[in-house]
Amino acid sequence: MSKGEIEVPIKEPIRSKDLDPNFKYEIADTSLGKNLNACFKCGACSGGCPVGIVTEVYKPREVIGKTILGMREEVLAGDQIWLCATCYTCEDRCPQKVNITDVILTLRNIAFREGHAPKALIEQAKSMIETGWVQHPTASMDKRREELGLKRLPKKALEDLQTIVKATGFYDLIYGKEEKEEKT
Amino acid sequence: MVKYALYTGCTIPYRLNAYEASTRKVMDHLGVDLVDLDQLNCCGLYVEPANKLAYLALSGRVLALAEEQGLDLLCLCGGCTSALAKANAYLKEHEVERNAVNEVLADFDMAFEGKIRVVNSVNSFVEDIGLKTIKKQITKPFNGLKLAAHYGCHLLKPSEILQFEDPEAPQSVDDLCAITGATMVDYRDKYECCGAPVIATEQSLAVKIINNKLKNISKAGANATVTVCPYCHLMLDLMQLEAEDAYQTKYKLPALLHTQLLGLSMGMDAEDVGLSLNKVNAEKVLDFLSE
Repeated sequence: MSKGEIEVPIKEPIRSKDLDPNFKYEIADTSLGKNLNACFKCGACSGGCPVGIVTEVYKPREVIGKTILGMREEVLAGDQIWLCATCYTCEDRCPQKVNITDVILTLRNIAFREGHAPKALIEQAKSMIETGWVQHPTASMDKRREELGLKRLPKKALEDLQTIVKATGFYDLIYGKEEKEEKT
Repeated sequence: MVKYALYTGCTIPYRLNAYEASTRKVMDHLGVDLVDLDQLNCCGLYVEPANKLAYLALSGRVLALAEEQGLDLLCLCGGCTSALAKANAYLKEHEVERNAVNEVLADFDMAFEGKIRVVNSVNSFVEDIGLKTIKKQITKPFNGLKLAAHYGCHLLKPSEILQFEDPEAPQSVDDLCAITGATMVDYRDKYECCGAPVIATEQSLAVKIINNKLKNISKAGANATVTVCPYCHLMLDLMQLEAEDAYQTKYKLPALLHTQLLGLSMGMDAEDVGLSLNKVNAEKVLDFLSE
């Protein structure tokens, strides 16, 4: 291999003044995050991660490590937490019983609240709120269903769904308070 | 008699009609009673990363509907199975969230009580109906068909909650497919994820994951793959074409839903199980059916 082919990224040092020592407790205080601080960084999670195999960007151990260290902004505003496939392999294998996948989901909940959600997921959420389902009927669907002897789809509970998303704060989270005022 | 409330979710009725059709026909053939619920809503899977309470309430409403019927809930989708089974377990254990969910559901005169099980189609075939019963209905077994089973993640994990079988060495899908006469082949990284959950955020990674899987399955000499979850199925079937494009290769590996496989070996026609709807031409598996 000739010189210069491998690019070694130069990382900025982590400075203690940039860390939030309470971040780990923010997660550990949630019902599924309670074992977070038991992590001894063995790496069983990264070793079995199906995404970690195909990219250097996402390794669960790194996310858990950064969370414990208190790199709040980097974890919540970064791309890593959105790359978890939620396959639960890491969580199932963790010798310290850290609910790693659930910790990632908790981190995503906080990131959503703080405005760091990827656009694609916000669009998906909007479409679910407006139509009741994540997937949508296609033009050929009714014909296909008929040919296969399937009944027409039963009525969906769109009104109830919208009541639920409003009562639980999900609607405000997605549309923001301003737009809600415009709509009502 | 085995009887369930059926929850098909959104991906199956909208995008994978062959799964719904083959499941209904196979279950009917086995004498299983499926009750359709009216006024259903999304399982909440996509809401879980954004707002946990909203997810629990959406799942809680679906569970409460099945509870009203006094029936276990049969799910076909891995995403729905996972979302609903996790919510079922979580709401039973966590009083604060249960009360919060029930406060929302009270608006519709509904309540989550935690009285039913969430069952995936494979759980149902293996545990509730039983392989012996199914085997009696196999009238047209496959002969010489080599299949690679893809389990998918959410049939098995989180194992503490799903309580089905060991996620490190599962057997259920292989055992189920083997009774149709097919020969099951093992392949490298067999129990690995299909990549579907990262499509929304980084499609190229999802394609890379499924390409690795297709490569391993082809190397093992399988004639086709067998899937359980609609997302895994779309990855192995529809996204196979993307992988072929992205990695300049050809797999032409048919992906069969486990219910299509069962239906065919029970004597149903290819049209009955919607075989022509599969994206990668799957007609060649018919050549392996005994007369």
